[in-house]
Amino acid sequence: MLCQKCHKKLATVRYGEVIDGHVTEVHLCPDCLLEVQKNPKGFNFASVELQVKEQREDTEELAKKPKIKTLCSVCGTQINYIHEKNRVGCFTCYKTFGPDIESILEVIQVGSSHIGKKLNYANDEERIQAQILLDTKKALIRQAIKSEDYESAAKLRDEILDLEKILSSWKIGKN
Amino acid sequence: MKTWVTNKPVWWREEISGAPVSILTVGTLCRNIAGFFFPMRMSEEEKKRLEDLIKENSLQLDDISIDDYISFAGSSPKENLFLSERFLVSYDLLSGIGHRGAFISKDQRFSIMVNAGEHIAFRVVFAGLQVEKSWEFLNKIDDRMSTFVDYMTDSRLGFLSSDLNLIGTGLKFFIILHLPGLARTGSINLWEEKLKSLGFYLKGIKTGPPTDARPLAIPKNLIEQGFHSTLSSPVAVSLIETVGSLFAIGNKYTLGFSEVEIVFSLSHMVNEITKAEMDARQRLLTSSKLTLEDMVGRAEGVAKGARFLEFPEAIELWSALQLGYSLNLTSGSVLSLPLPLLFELQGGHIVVNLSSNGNNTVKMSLTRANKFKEIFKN
Repeated sequence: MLCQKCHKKLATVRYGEVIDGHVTEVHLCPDCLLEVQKNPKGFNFASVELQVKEQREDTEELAKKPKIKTLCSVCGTQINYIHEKNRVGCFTCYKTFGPDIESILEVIQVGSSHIGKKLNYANDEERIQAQILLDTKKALIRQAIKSEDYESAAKLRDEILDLEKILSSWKIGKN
Repeated sequence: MKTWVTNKPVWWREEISGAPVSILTVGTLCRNIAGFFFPMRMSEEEKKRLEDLIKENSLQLDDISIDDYISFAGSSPKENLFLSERFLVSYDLLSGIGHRGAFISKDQRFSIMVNAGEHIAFRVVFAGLQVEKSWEFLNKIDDRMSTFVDYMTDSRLGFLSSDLNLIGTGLKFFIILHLPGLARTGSINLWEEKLKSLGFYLKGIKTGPPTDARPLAIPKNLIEQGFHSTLSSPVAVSLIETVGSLFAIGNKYTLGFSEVEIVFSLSHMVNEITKAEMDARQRLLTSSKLTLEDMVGRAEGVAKGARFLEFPEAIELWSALQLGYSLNLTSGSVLSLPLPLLFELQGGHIVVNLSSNGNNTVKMSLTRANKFKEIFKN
């Protein structure tokens, strides 16, 4: 479970305090434990079940594992919100929650890559025309495959490969 | 009165012969600007800064003639409801909060929405089926705008968006279809399945808003007497719940399909569905001519004689008459209903011309019935 103080790291210690005669128990991570021990609110009764060895092992294991982020550090959008609404808050969300967004896109979109208009080539007229032609041929090949017209599909595939070679030789642009 | 209220959209005058299956095409292209949070996370100050940036640059789009910027911040006046009913702005913009607004072109073909869920959303409306033209239009404006501002992009995911349903191309189309033949023969359900497997949706059209959120200045019953849209689609329901046999077809995906593929496939599918609809109408004519004649005849009677018409009833009436015209089942000299009628029956359009208490349901029903009467008076 997560630390009940910082809500970020894994809790490895059950920590107990007596405040005004009432026992209060919380689950803490090693960092928060140190902090709380420095500034106890009440009487510290021997930091219940402090298993130092186990704690060290857990910390090492945690360091090896990638940290699970639940919040975008830039805009504050929560991962739960993104899953629920299919909406992100900022550009960094895409970087922060890459795998989560990929998994959402797998469900709500048909492909994993953009194959349409590329901004960098907006002024390259020839390239746009070739792209349109290529896209049209790709549309045609999809239709051909769907209608089980494999002869046309094979012809289109060759044309597409040729066009793709031409396009790749023109790779110019800002990025 | 605002200019967009008195002026009629150019696409109302566009030629769509007879009683068409495709009523109108709406294209929306969403873009976000690098260096800004998405609107849902933006502070009011940041929203204002973005609004100013877009305002400044939109005025340089010399290809289109645009009116002044219409701010939707604070209480939106009833005139703004107009723009949503004409699909020129999305309901998100109308009902949102904070700094947001839109530029509307003078001919009311095109709008640039600012802070309606995404930073900017270009929208274009054409009568009939005009997906290619819509994309050409949007693409041109997008190219132009991209020389002024830096878009938020990713080399693999394309144009980034707040709504993951818009990532990639950021391009959404919807076409409003009138499909009484397929609805009556029950084939519409088969089309729904077929289109789903090809990456499109087919849904019924719902009157009223998509959510309960609404601007305080606009009464609930007024908003419910109209058609609205989100950035992605019109406000939709299941096929059986639709009004006036009106349906919407549109692309579900923005990632994995290119714009040209979307345009090409969507146009193709609408042509296919149009053919199927015409066949279904002919089949109905063969199998149930008397029933159809009865329905159309009654509709004509109501159109000529009714004194009050509620909005859903008026839409059903419109639908029955259009079916009658397409199958030559009508008795009068009227050959089809004009496209503007479908829009002028909506609450926001009626209330803006009512002099006194605009929220008077009886007056609105009376006005609606009069609109049909005017068409049949000769």
